[in-house]
Amino acid sequence: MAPFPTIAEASRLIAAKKLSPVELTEACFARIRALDSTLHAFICLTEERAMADARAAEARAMADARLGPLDGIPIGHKDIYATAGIPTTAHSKLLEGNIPDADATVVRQWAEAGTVMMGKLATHEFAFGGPSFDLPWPPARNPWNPAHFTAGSSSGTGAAVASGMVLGGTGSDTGGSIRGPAALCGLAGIKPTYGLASRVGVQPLAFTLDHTGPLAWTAEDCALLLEAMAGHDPADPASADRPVPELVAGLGGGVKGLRIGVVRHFFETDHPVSPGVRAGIAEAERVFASLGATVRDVTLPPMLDFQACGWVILVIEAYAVHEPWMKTRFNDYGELFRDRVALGGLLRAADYVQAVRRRRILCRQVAAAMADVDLLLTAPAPAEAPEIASVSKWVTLEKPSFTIPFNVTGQPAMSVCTGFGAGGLPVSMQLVGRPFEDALVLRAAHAYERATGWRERRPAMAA
Amino acid sequence: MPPSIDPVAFAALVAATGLPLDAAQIATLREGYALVEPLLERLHAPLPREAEPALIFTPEQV
Repeated sequence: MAPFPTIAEASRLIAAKKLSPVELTEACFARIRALDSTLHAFICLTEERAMADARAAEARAMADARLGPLDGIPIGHKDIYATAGIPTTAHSKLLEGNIPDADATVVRQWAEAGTVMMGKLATHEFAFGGPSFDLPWPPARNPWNPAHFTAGSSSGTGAAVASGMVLGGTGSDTGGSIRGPAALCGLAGIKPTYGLASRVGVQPLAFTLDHTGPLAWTAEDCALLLEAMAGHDPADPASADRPVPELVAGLGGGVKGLRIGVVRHFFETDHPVSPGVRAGIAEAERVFASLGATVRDVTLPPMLDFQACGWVILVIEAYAVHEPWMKTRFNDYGELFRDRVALGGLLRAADYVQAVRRRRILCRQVAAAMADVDLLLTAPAPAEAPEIASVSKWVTLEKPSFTIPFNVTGQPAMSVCTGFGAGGLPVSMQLVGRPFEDALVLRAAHAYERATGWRERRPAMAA
Repeated sequence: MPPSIDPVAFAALVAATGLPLDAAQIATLREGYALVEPLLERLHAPLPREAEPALIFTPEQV
């Protein structure tokens, strides 16, 4: 048996009164005490509240009155999600001591679903500056090898879920900050369609690219978590006024008859990936074909077109958010964040307008390319996790990103572990759906996970 | 590759932002700017007339 359960497994056991939410929560805290001095996944723990949450969940379970499948499940929130009465720092000196009055919408939704909040999770500073060693808290480290990077910016969530300190957690994704840590930490992580999940109470990085979403061990767990955070929020101007999709109910539908388009030029020529990543994708193509999907290549615009568009929008919007502090407290930011975002202050209004004009064209081009395929398959990251000390300040500029294209288009996109490559580190694929077809992305990911054995393996340090 | 903008002109560009950078920070930023220039060049390639900004303005919203 695996050293820690998935959310779905734990939920079934709790419902059958074979697993105590209190004991599950205590086990997670024991794991935190054993591992977090190495992994640095948490900014702060909320143990008193968590144990109270767990006791309440246990009482409901014993009374056959569970609130739903997440009742009694230990989770954590990325520290850019506002939590009432609990410090919310964005991993930055600038917000040390910040204690919000109200929960972010997603924090409230997950609390109402009965989750047990274990604490606040490390992030790259303001979801962009990392891995940084000049902040009040150290950067999170990868449970598969703590000398290696988690990716970011949902770095603490990636480390905490991969090590079993929590069973799921929130991330945010402006250029890949859910899918990157999910890929490098061997998890499942979905950036939903833009507008599907509320951003209210979440520290903005770039308004038109920011997405909230979950990371967990499996696609099934992501479906459970996303279903609890999806839905219209009138307080979020970008929130889509649509019915909450059924993400869990259709998970078992398989991929038979689905048409999957492989964006091969992304990972073979635009930004060649490591042998491990390429082998994982090749095997995924074979698995999907064996399950009855049709797999063929499709061509999108060059990655650099998406990179130019997405990066310019991101840094200009981020600069606009941070300009007052950049002018008055520049050196209170970490070096990586301030230098990356300062570039946004050097760009012109015409650069931004051209970027948002190109965004419309790119969206149309991707929609046209998907006219006769249901899903896209490509890489989410170029390689296995690098050593944490080797990550460059300009990493987001040196090579085009595999993930930002789908922040530009707003489509649902997900990282799914496809095995292990160099150094025994995880490798992953990225599945992408049409807007608001998040359920199909999760369904395909679930089918792949069920057909392969990768979800059984846990990091050695978490065993 | 160094950026096309020379150090003096780049320092003036930074000064115009009002950011309180010292000389070393400006030099570092110029290294990053060298990576930005090709992206800007790509971004400013001609676009068709129908490429209206992908921003939503709805008069009914407040």
